[in-house]
Amino acid sequence: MIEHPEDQLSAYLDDELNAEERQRVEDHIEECESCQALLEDLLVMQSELAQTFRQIQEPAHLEVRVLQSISEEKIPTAAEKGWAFGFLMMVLTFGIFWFLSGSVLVKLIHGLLKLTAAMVYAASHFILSVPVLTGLTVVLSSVILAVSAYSLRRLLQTTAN
Amino acid sequence: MVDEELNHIIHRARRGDKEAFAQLVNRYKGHVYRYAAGMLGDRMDAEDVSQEAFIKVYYSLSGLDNEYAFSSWIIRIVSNLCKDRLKKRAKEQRLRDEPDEAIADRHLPDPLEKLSIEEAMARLTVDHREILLLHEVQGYRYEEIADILEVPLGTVKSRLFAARMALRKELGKEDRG
Ligand SMILES: [Zn+2]
Repeated sequence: MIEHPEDQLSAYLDDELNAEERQRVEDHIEECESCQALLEDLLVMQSELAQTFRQIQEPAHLEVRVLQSISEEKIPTAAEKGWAFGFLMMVLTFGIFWFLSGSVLVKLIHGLLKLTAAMVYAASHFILSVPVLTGLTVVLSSVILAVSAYSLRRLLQTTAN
Repeated sequence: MVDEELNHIIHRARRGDKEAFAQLVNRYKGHVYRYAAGMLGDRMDAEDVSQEAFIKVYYSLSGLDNEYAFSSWIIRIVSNLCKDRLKKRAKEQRLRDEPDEAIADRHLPDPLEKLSIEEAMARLTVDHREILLLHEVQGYRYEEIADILEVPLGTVKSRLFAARMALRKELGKEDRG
């Protein structure tokens, strides 16, 4: 049984075989009609394929559109830079403020935490309270809240002076 | 076969010269567009992808380390974009849940139907379509294709042969020869 070097035919067509391989294929083709026919088919197909795609016209003004979208894309980049700059300035401002008034801020946060604790306390009691005690709880919570708020205000006043 | 003028244009475009970049697009748009048209089988999509590819080229031109490889480099960019788009299309097809007809069509071509080259190409696998375009249309040698696809030379040879046989089958030439 003859072995047809069909896969070699394709490379033979493209002139991608070395001298020895090429010789072997040529020797075979000379005596094999089916390989001759296949080679002919591949050749025709190759030129049809190339011709079909040569006829496809590229878009006329692609470079204009490409340049247009490049300059359009530039704008968001600049905006991004603006945002980054703004953010940097904000961080810087905050940093300076922090540096100059560290002690005030620590006290402020401390006061706020106290106030929050009181509010949480009041809320939890509001929800869980027995009807009879509700009034008492509200009053108690309000007192705590008022005291907290007062102490926070005083705290701020004393640091401001 | 890289001419000095081209290298000069690439060099200028790399430094942000927009006029040089426009010249580069003008010179390579056919190369890129035909490849995309062959891969996607759709002119509108091909135009979109070509534009996308050149925008990508513009922003990554400074990273190109070898001006001699420009043509392979740009094809690699458009190739990746085409494959992404094909994947997206396949996903949309799955979501629309209408794969049966397409598959039936693919496996049982009407023996009386005469397909055009483009229609026959559209029925091939992505790998087969790609290698045929690279070789027959773009005119790359085996070694360049191996470089673009990042596969061994032997794979290029066998894949191109398989692609040709598949195209021949789709064109219905198989039994006439
Ligand atoms: Zn034979």
